[in-house]
Amino acid sequence: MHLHKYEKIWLVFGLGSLALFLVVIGFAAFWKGTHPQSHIETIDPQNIEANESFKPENLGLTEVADGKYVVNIVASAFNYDLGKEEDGSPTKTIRVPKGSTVLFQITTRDVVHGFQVAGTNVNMMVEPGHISRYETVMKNDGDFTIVCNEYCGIGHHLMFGTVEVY
Amino acid sequence: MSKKNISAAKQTKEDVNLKGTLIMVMILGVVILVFWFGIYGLFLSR
Repeated sequence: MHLHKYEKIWLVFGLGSLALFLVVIGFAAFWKGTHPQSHIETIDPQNIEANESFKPENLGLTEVADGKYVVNIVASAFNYDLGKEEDGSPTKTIRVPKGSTVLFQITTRDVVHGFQVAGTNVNMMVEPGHISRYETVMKNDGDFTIVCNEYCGIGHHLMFGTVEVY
Repeated sequence: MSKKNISAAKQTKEDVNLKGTLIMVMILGVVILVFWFGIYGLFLSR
C-alpha cells in the first residue's frame, strides 16, 4: 500500500495519541484504583438506617483522625440530610479546615439525585440502593455550594447546602 | 489498463499537495492536547 509522506505523519500522531490515552486509562484504573463513585456496594433503600454510616446520629461531619473527616449524607426528595446542629436545627453548612482530607459518603432513599460540591472535584450520582463515595483533599478555602445536578422532581432546585473551607 | 496509465495515476497521487491538510490535522491535534492538559490541570488544582 502506498501512503503519502504526510499521511504517515498524521497516522503516527493519531495512533500515538490513542495509545497514550489508553495507557493513561489503564494507569488510572489498575495502578491508582480509579472507579465510579458508586462502586458495586449496595444498601436497602427502604432501610438505610441498618447501615452504620447512615444512622441518623452518624449523619453529617465527623473527624475520624487528625485532618481526616467523613461526611455522611442521606439525599431524599428534596433535601440533603447533613445531620443536626447542637440546637437541633438541620445542618446546612459543613465546615472543614483547609488542606483536610474529606470522605463524602452518600445514599438516597427515593430517586436518583446528584451530589456536586461546585468548584471542587466532588461530583457524584446518587442512586437508590447504592452507596456513593468520594474522597478529596480540600486544597482551596472558600464557600462551595452543594447542588443536586440530577433532575429529581419538582423541588430539585431546593436541594442545596454549603461546604465552608476555612 | 496499460502500464503507462498506471504510472500516470501514481504520478498524480504523489503530486497531490497535502501540506494544508497536514497543517490542519496538526492544529486539531494540538487543540485536543491543550484541552486535555488544561482539564487535567483543573482537576489537579481543585
